[in-house]
Formats: sequence, structure tokens, C-alpha cells
Amino acid sequence: MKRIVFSIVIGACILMSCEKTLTFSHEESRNKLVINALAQPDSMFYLHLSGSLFYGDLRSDLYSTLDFLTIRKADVKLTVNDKDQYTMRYVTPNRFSYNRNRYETTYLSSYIPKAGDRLYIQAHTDAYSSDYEDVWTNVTIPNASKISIVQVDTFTVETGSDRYFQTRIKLRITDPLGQRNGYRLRVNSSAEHYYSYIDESSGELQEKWVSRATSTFSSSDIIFTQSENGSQPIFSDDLFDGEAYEFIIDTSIDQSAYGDVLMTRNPTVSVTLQTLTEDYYFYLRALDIKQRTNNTDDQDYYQYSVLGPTESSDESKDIFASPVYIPSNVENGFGMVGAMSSEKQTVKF
Amino acid sequence: MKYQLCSTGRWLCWLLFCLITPPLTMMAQTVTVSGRVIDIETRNPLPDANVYVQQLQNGQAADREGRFSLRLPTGNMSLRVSFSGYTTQTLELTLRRDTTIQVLLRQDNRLPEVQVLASRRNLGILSSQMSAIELPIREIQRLPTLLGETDIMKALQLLPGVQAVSDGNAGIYVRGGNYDQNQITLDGATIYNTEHLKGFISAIDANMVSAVALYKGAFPARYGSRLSSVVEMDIKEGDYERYHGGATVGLLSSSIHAEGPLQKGKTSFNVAARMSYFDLLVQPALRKMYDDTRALETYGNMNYYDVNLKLAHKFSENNRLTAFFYVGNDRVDTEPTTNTTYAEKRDPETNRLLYSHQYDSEEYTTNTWGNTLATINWSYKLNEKLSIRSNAYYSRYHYHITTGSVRERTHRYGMTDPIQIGKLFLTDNYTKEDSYMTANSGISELTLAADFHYRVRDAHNLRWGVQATTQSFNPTIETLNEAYQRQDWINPDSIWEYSVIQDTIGGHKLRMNSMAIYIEDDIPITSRLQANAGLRYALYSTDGTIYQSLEPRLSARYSLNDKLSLKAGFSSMRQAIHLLSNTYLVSPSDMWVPVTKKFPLTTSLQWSAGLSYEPNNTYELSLEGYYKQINNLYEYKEGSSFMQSAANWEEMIAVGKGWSYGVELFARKKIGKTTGWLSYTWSKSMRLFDQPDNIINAGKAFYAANDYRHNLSITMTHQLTKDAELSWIFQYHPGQRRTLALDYYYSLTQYNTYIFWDSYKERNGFQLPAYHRMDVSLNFYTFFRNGAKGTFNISLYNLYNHKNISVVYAAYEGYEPVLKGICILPLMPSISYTYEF
Repeated sequence: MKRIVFSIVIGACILMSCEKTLTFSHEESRNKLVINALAQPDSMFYLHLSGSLFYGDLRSDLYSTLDFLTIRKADVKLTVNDKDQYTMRYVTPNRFSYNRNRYETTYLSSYIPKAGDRLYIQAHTDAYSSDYEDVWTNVTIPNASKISIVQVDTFTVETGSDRYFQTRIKLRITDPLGQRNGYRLRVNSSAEHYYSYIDESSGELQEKWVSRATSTFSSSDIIFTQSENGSQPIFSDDLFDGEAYEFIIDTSIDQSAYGDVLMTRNPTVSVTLQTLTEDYYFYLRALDIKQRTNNTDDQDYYQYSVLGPTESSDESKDIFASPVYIPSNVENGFGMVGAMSSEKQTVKF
Repeated sequence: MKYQLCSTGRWLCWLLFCLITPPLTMMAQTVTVSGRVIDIETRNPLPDANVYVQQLQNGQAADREGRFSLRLPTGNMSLRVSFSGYTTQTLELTLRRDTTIQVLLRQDNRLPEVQVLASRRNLGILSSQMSAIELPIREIQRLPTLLGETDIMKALQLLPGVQAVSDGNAGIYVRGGNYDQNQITLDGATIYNTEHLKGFISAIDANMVSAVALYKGAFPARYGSRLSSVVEMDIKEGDYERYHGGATVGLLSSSIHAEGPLQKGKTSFNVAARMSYFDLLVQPALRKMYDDTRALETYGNMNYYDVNLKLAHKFSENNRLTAFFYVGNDRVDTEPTTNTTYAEKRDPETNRLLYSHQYDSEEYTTNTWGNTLATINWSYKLNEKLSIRSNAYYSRYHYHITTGSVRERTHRYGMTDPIQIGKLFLTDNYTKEDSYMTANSGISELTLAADFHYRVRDAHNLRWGVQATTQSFNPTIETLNEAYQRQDWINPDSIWEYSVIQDTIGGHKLRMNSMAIYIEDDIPITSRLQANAGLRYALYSTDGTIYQSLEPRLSARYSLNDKLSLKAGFSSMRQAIHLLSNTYLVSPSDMWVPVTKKFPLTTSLQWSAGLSYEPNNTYELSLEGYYKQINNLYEYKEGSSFMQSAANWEEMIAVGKGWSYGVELFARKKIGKTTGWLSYTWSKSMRLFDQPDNIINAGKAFYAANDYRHNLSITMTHQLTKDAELSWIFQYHPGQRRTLALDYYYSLTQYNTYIFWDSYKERNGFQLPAYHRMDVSLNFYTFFRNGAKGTFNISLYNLYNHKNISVVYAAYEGYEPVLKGICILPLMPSISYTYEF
């Protein structure tokens, strides 16, 4: 009886496949223009224009020739404060650029951003077979929030054979009322140390000045618990919107790299508070999380064949992690056009 | 001084006399008719039987014990008493004094010429209750089945406002709520997981159930602890007079059932057991249909069993004690699956290998879960007005999963020879990752409850009560991840371990105690207006914290005429336990957790309004709209993972809110050779997580995973002959929502460099193709001389084999990457035979 029933089931179903290849509409599958840019006052403004790639267009031999994603022939227009118009021109990338990504496509104009400027960017191209549609975006360059140094303490700490020149700084941020701000903090500590050490080749005692610098710092303040990036933490003003907020950071420079430190001169700590647009803040936050779950940093990520959106070619990726949304503020396309303004304070000891 | 009434005054007096006298007369000339509706053979009460007074165009539903009480004028009255599956009786009474009657109804085992479905009058046009429906068990048993299994939960999915979690799954979403927001009870005891075989069938044996009621809104105050729905199932008592039994053999499982007296007229038993052989028949068939058998990984080798037992004892007609026991377990074991991919690049001129990449993986899973229930109910009727029902139950749900994988990668690439300048040699970089995760999630609950019911003539229908519960949770996830590496150009013989992550999340018991008191009153305010007002107070104590809630409830009915009524309702609800479910995990690790100091009660407010129309006894129509608002919703944060070291589950949760609204249409034909219903829902369900440290989707609103814009279900049952009937179902709704990254592009990093990776447009922004299917079944009945009945059923699930996609995976067609969708349930024919005596 069981065999008969089994045969009936198999007979009824065996010719009926239960799979199908998903198809996508033109809107879902079309490749789109990607704009990435960061506007900062008093810096050249350039943007990077490339194309996206739909999953179905991926190829296993793709990654040695990602060059085809670069968009060199496009009309990119920049309008500032609804009146000043600029045409952004394609600039051949510098092959000796520090940026390892050889696919950067830079568009440049004579415009120099200022805090408070409202930018409108539009990109158009009809020079490629991918038939890209126009994309556009708006961004307003924020005014830099004030940061001031309230108190500074310095001391040298010795732990075993290690010795650190340590600085503890109390800072105050003044947050403007009525807008949601994101911030990023950068701390750079540097000093010159006069070392004496034994030259291994000659065996003689040598002395010289060595510059040391570090961009890491530590803080137990609650505002930094939101950030996953330890060296350039980002945080929002939710805890102190419209108010002045004080917090403490510690920074140190390892003095024990070469030997005995005889003297230290020009110790300097510079603290830079970058005021970010809201879009850009959420974007950086998402990047930090996604890079953690992908176990990668800023390297070119995909080098080999890709298995698709449900799996990754980088097998160290955490498959249990919830997906991370990377925000985009480019209409009809992808990418992030962010803006920030900086305020810097320097302490020289 | 003499006063004489003027003509106007005489008119007024006469008018006053006419207005006052009839009510006074009526008050002096009414009597109470009370009684009980019972099964003539088994002597079991028929709960919610309809008692309708034709002269008054009004009526009442009997209570759980089959009792009713009506205040009627003296004189001749016709009482029509009906209950689904039973022959309707009409009693002609001449009332002069208070009367007590016993109405004996006979079950009609043969297919009657007219099919009387359970009237919704008790929850429909005459009642102040809205957003509720009672589904006759007999009607459920006649619907087409999946692999011959009658499934109560799947029948509920055919009602407006209710959706299936996925194709073939027994879980439900109700009015945009989450899966864990539904309270499902068996004889008053909460069952936490209603799924066997990963949802293919429900854990509830329909043979044991006598009545199913679903509440979606306007909740009376006696219900609490869940936001979206209450599904009440009453378990049948055994026959007090005779022995009955039956057996069913199907493609998926077999079951046996027996009931009868332990002491005639006093004590009865009802027992049923089921066991499956899914892995022997169905899975081999399914495997032959899939190009990629990885799609069946989740289902592995699955089987289940469950046992139900109910005992009932009557101390007297007014005093009854019942006990119900349930145990059910599932097991899924997947055989280790292996997967190998290889890609290479060669010099186009010399065909020399430039680099290659090979990836091998092996994965396995063991998964068990189950429920245990024990409940005791005591009901006692003190007098015609007051009755008490008390309940004590223990419920335990356990869930365990272990999943492991071994992944190896060999990357072969060219390096410059350090000795022979300009020469390249190929070298291997080998990595291996060995990981496993084991998760345990359980919840145990002990509850004591007492409910009092007091009827004050036809004025008040008062209920009040108290509930006390203690629950314990033990969510534990243990993970281990070890990574090894070998670089041949350094040392081809050396593999070193470069990363070990081992962690335990949870691992200690959490306890919560709660208490609730409530009061509700169903009041006829005028002859047209009736309202049910209630208040519930609840207190929760856990993690050194106490939460309290006050939950007002209100629903009202206004009768425009005897065929049409308008209704409105409001309910404020609280929920103190949650199921954390990461739908993105390959191996689900659902955890039941209570509220804590950090995470407060989830709350909801729901408003609903609608109309009910019953032009005659044959048809009924209802149209309802609702708006629901939910606060303190929990979801896993973006990027949260159990593989993070030192991650407490509380650190992985984001808190946000949601809202849903919709319109539901329900049209039903209850009587005739052809019966059935049409249910259509238009709805929208959204989520928003935008608070600091709780950001999902960049703080922008996104569609809930259970957002379906349209949902259409049509059912029909047609009596072909007196021994055969045909049933069919049609269902349609848009495809499920998923988060799928389909676009790859360069992003600017915080270091001012570029990274090329995948991204998705928004959370739950991708929608699978639309879902629709048609099921058909034929029932052939054979009636034997000894009173036994045989039922031969042929069912065709997904008649036209529409490929309803539930699972998506990446594959290649030639060199082109494609996404493939798998339908878990293609055309599935089944046959079963049931013998009942």
C-alpha cells in the first residue's frame, strides 16, 4: 500500500519542477549612477561618479576589470545657493595617488565650499550602453559646532618597561538647538622625543630626536558607546541637543619604542570636531557596522567570484549578522554626498 | 379651592398614562425562561448554542456549559434552538411563570440538505462584540487539507485580517501584528508553539477540538497579555454514555482517537494520538523536484508525535471538573550537506593559471522542540444568576537547535620569486573556519485563574476575575568559532589557529510573576444600543522591576434594524513576553524573553468600526476597518550577531514602534447545498526605529515583514450527493517581503577610500512574486449499519502547481549568476481514510 501511494506521489510530481528563476523588472535591474562626495569648507570639492552593478550582471572574472564601472563621460552640474552654477569636469586620476582604488573617477570644479552653502548636484550621461538615468541630490554644508578645551592634565605613566606620555583633556561641545547633528571626533597627539640607544651595527651609543604621533584616544563617556569606530568615533547630539556638553578624553604616546627618553619637546594635542550632516552621520554609522560584520576594513572587498546576495565570497563574513542598510541620498541612484565642517583646537605644552 | 383640569391637562394625563402603563404592565407580566442545551446522546453541553425568540427578533447564546436565561413576556413564545451540526429545534411555549427547560439536540451525522453553520449572532449582528468569529469545527474538517491533515490554524488563515507566516506554515499574523502577539489556548491553557514539522501542520489535533473562536480586536477585559489576537479552542469532553473511536491513515501521519465513559453519566475520557512519517514518504518526493537540495536543508529529516487526553467528571448538573493533558514533540536532523565552488582566471594568450579560488563547506543541524500542557478546570453554577469558572494550568515549551559548519578556502595566486627576479610562482593561502552554535530557548508557565459570571435580568451581564502567573525563561546561545590559516610560501607544513571566539549569551534563568484583575459588563443601554465596557489592571514583576498597566476596553453595537447593525470598538493591550526571531539566520534561534529593566512592556491601542448585515438566515456580510498602534516593538539591531563576543541579548535589541491599518470584508453563505465564504483584506503595516542607539533603516519608516496589501480567500463546500461533497479554496496575496541586496557599487569609506560591496534599497524592500493557489478536496462517506462512518478523502493542494516562492538562493545558469526561488509546496495530492465508530 505504501509503495503504491509513494508511486502515485512521485508520478504526480516528478515532472513538475518546484523551482524557477526570478525575473526582475527593468526598474529593479537597471544599473544606476553612483555619486560619492564629501563637501568641506575651504577645500576643493570633487565627486566620484561610477555605475552600480545589478546582481544578475556579475561575472566571476569581473574584478580585474571593474574599470568598466567608471563614468568618464557625464554632464555633472553643481548649483550653489540656487544661483551659482558650476560645471564639474572629469579629471584623469593620478596613477601615483595614495588611493589604492584605481577606479576612482573624479569630477572637479572651481567651487570652494563654505559653511551654510546649499548644493544641488545633477549628473547625466548617455554615453554608455547601460542607459543610466539622471540622478540628483541636495546637501547643505553645516556650520561647525564649537568645541573648546576646558582643562588639560599631563603626566608620564610607567608600566613595567613601557612609558607613556599621557594627556587628559576635558572638552566642551556647544550644540545648536533645533537641528539633529552628527559629530565625529579626531584626536592627534604628537611629540618629539630625544632617545639614546645602542646602534646594532656599530655598537656605539647614539642619540637622536624622533617624532611620534598617534590618533587613538580613549574615553568612557556615554556618547562614544554609540560608535563602533574607536579611532574616529561618531556620535549624535541626542543626549545634549541645544546644550553645552562636557566630556573627557585620554590620549597617550608610547615613549619606550627605542630606548631611554632623555627629553621630550613640542608635545601637542589637536582635537578636531567635525559637524556632519544627518545623512552622512547615519551613513558613517552604517559603514562601521557593516565593516564589522564583513570582517573587512577599507580594502577592496571583492576579489573573486561572488556567490550572490545571499552568500558572500568573503567567507569570514558573519552569516548570522542582521543585514545593515547603507543609506543613500542620491535620488534615482546610489551613493552618499555628505558634508561636514570642522573646528579644531590645539594644545601645545 | 377646587382645581379642575383643563382639556390640555386631560390630554397630558392620558398621554402619561399610556406611556407608563405598558412598561408597568410588562414588568408585572414577564417571566424567566432558563435552561440548558445538551447533546441528546452524549449529554454533553453545547456551548454557545443559539437560543432565538422569534416574536422578539432577539436571542442569546448559551454559555460554555450550554446554559441560557431569558426574560420574556408571558404568553406564547417560539424558541428556536440551534447548534452547528445538530438538528435545529423550535419550542412552542406558553409562558405563565418562570420556566426551566432542557433542550436536547441530535447530532446529524448524515449530510443534511441544509448546512447550518454556527451562526455569528452570538458574535455578530446582535452582539456588542466585534472583530471576532467562531469557526465551526465541522466546517474546518470539510476544508481541503495539506497531505490529509485537518489544520485549525490554516483554516484561521482564510479569515479576514489573518495571514500565514509563509506558505504551508501554521503560524499566523493578525492585523499587522507579529507572530508572538497571538495567544492560543487549549481549554484555557496557553500553548506557545502551534507548529509541527516547521509549520507544515499545526500542533493542535482537530479531532479533540469542539469550538474555535478568534478575537482580532475589541478584546473583552478578560483577555490580556497579547496584543494582536486570542484564539480560544475548547477541547471536547468524552461521551458520557457510549464508547466511540476512530483512526486516520494519511500520507503524512496517522492518528487514533477514542472516547467514552469511565463511569456512565458521571466521568468520561477523550484521548487522541498522532505520529508522522514525513521523512519516509514526502521528503524523498520533494527532493526529486528541486534542482538544489540545499533548499530542503532546513527541513532535514523531520518527524513529530503528540498525545491529547481529557478527563471530565460531573459532580452534578451544575458542578463539573475537567482535566486536559497534552504533550507534543518535533525533531529535525539534517544530514551533513557539502558544497564546493571553484573559480579561476587564466592568461587569455598562454592559458596560464593566474589565480584561482576554491571554497568547500559542510553544514549540519539538529533541531528539537515541543510543548507540554496540563490544565484543570472547575465550573460551578451557584444559581440562575451566578456561575464560577476556575482554572489552573502548567505549560512548557522547549526549543533546542545545534548548527555547525566547516568552511575551507584555498586561494592560489601568483607571487614574485624572491630569488629569480621577474619570475612568478603560484602559492596557496589556505584558511579554515570551524564554528558551531547551540541555542536553547524555553518558557515554563504556571497560572491560576478564577472567572465570575453574573447575569442581572436582561440588564447586566457582568464578569470579573483574577489571574496569577509565574513564568520562567532560559534563553541561552553558545557559540564557538575557530579559524586556522596556512600560507604555503611561508611554511607549507604549518597551520596555525589565528582566531578563537567562544561565547555564551544568556545562560541563566529569568523569572517573571504577573497578576491581573478585570471587570467587564455587557449592557443593553437602549433597545438599539448595547455596549461592553471593561477595565483590566495588570502587574508584572521581573528583573527587580515592576510594571503596571491599566487597560480600558469598550465595544458597542447600534442596531439600525433587525438586519443591520453598526459596531465600534477600542482596546488597550499590553504584552510582557516576546519572541526574538532573526529571520535572516540560516538556522533560526528564536528566544522567548520577558520584559526587563531596560525593555518595558509592549503596548498597543486599536480602534475598529464596522457594520454587520444579515438579510436572512442564509447570508451574512460584515465590513470592518481598524487602526492599530504598537509601541516598544523589539527587533534585532542591524549587524547584531550571536558570533560577537561578549554580546548580551539585550545589547542586540532595538526598540521601536509600528502601526497598521486596514479594511476587512467578509461575506458568507451559511445554508444550502453550497456554502462558503469570501474574505478580502486591504491592509498596510509599517515599522519605525529612529531613537538613539535603536536605529534601523537609517531611522526611516519601513514595511513590516508581514505587510501584505491585499489578501483574498474564497472557500466553498458543495454537497454533490448525500454521501459526497466537494470543497475548494482559492487564496491570493502579494509575495512576502524580504531584505535582499541586489545592487553592488562603490561606497566612500570613512578613510576616504572606496569599497565595492552589496547593498539593499530599504529593509523589507524586496517583494517575492505574488502568491496564489487553489486547493480541492473530495469527501466520500460510507455509513455502516453499526453506526460507524468511513470517510475517504482525496485532496489536491496547489491544484495548478503555481510556484509560490518561499526560499531564495543564489545559483548559476552557465556563467550567469541568477536568483532561484523555491516553492516549498508544489502540487501535493494526498489521500486519507478515516474510520469512526
